[in-house]
Amino acid sequence: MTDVPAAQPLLAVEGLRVEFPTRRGTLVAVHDVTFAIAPGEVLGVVGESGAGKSLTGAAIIGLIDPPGRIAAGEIRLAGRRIDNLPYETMRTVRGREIGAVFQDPLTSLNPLYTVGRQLVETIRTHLPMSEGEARRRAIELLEEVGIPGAARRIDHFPHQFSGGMRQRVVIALALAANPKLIVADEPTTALDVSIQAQIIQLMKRLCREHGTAVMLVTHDMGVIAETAHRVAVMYAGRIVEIGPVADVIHRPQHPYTVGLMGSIPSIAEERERLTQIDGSMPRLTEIPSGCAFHPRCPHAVARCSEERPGLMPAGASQAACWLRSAP
Amino acid sequence: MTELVKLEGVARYFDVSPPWLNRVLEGRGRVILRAVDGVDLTIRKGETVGLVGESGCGKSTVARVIVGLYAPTRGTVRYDEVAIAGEGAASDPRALRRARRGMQMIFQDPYASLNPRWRVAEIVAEPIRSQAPDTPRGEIAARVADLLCQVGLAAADGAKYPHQFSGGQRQRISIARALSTNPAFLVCDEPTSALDVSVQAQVLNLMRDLQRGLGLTYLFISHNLAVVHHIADRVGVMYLGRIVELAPTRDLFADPQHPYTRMLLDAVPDLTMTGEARTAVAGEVPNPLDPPPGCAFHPRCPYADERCRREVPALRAVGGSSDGQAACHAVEEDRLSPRVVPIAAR
Repeated sequence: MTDVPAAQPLLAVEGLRVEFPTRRGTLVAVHDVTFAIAPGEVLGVVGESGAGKSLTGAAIIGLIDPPGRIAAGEIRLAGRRIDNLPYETMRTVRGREIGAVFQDPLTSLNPLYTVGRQLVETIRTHLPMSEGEARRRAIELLEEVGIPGAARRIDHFPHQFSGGMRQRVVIALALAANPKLIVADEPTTALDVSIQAQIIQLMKRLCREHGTAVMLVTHDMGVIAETAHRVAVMYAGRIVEIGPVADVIHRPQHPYTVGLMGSIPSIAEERERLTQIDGSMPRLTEIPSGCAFHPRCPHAVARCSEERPGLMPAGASQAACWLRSAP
Repeated sequence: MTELVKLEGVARYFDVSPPWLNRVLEGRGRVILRAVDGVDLTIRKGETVGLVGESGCGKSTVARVIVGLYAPTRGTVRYDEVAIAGEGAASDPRALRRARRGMQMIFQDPYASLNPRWRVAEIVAEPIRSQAPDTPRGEIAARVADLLCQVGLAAADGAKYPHQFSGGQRQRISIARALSTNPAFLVCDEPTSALDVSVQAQVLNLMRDLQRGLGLTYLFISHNLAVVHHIADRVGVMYLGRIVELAPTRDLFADPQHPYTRMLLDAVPDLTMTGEARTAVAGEVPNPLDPPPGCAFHPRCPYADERCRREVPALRAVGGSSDGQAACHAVEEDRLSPRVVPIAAR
């Protein structure tokens, strides 16, 4: 699963910085984030609340709520810059070229319209199709995402679907115009485990069949372990480690990733105590100097509080940690 | 080990009927939601019993019936051999109060369960004030400071307000409040579900340390199987208001009996399963207002036969050395195929 052809990246994010101006000064929520996603690749982005993972996703689909703004950096989709497009142009990119799946399927759907109407509208916005053609495509999409009795269900309202089925409808909406990239922000978090498994399976199958790349933002390492090819771990607005999924999970390089992996209980092993990282993620107003993790890091040395480490090669991954720099 | 809490055939129904006028005008009948429908469960002193299940299976209702937030519709709740709720409940208010004092509850959302206008010291002291109103002030203050230190906060934090704390710290405050009356039994309803994993690890470690130090008994409710696997000694799996399997944690995870337990375990995404394909789980939990007849799991069960569609299976001891129980006709008749890969061996 880890072998993805290294073609030209579909999505390239370069030095992304997201800021929120406030009365007490500017808060930098995403800091110098650089990564790329190849066509057909699933990149997992993990981190705890406030790490900036969802904002990174929102920046890519151009949905950062004002007063937040992209202050620096570039986002390129298939070579074309999309971070500075006018609102209307971005609207066509979003949907046509980038699909979005959010955590709560109920808020992503309009409760007043049938799912069919929402699908047909989305399809016709992005593809030159007649009403009838669009409806046939909508039924196909619903069938594809595994909704039984799609021809009948298309005229139902969102509240007539269960949580898992609603998330399938949202995925169908995201796929409506056959986008090259899907940004999925916690797509399974609101679902029960058995439904979560179905949705993960579905997303994996669709990506394989359509060659769609996915940026999967979640706090659930288990979901990442099963779905992603590569993982980026975020902490306090920065990527602290990025690498192939098996390496990040089984051979983590950054002390934060080590602590994070150790703190996750697993049903495959018995442990007396979980590894704990003392303290909590710093607030945006008080990001420590140097490496933002140094006050919680068991291996911190003087340099860590003075100088910020950039991503450097560490094992098969890259980690932003002075411990990994060549001596 | 002695029994501390015992549920005997406990059921809790909710009347979710439309208003009377609608029923009359639209000719609709009453609608009864059987949130918990006949649960037998024994919790022994000093152990942690985990209760898992998907949303709507009734696990939180069980918790609320035990601590007395809901009265059981049927059945009896016993605490330390005193029937505290339901049929045959003790009528002596002093005995009831004494029993109630022994149990406390920790809730899921540390943002909603602490009064934002109270200082932490007042929050932690409230149970002491209500249960032993004549405790001298100095003694309460000393106890509060002691409790805050016990849960890993500083005594000086008592002067702050809840909004000054992070989610994990708030959950520590909830734990301090629950411990303030020296309970023997804590009901924890998804105590770590709202927390980030690294903070969850801190809270789980703290709960385990407190259990060792104070000899606490826990009923730990969670939808997260890995968390329950970590913390519980025995695990009960609930489905649509009933316990379908109850077994020591190791046995349940290594050799699950009930088809629903097997399905749940197969569905859990785990770090060890990098890139592996997994068995997809068919179907969804049926509408609890209209549960299927017989075994409620039969529409999703690969082993269901005529008897399963007709007859509700009872929780029975299953073979082997363990004291596990399962409510399944197929298990009882030995119709199940052996499970190919036990999770623990992967």
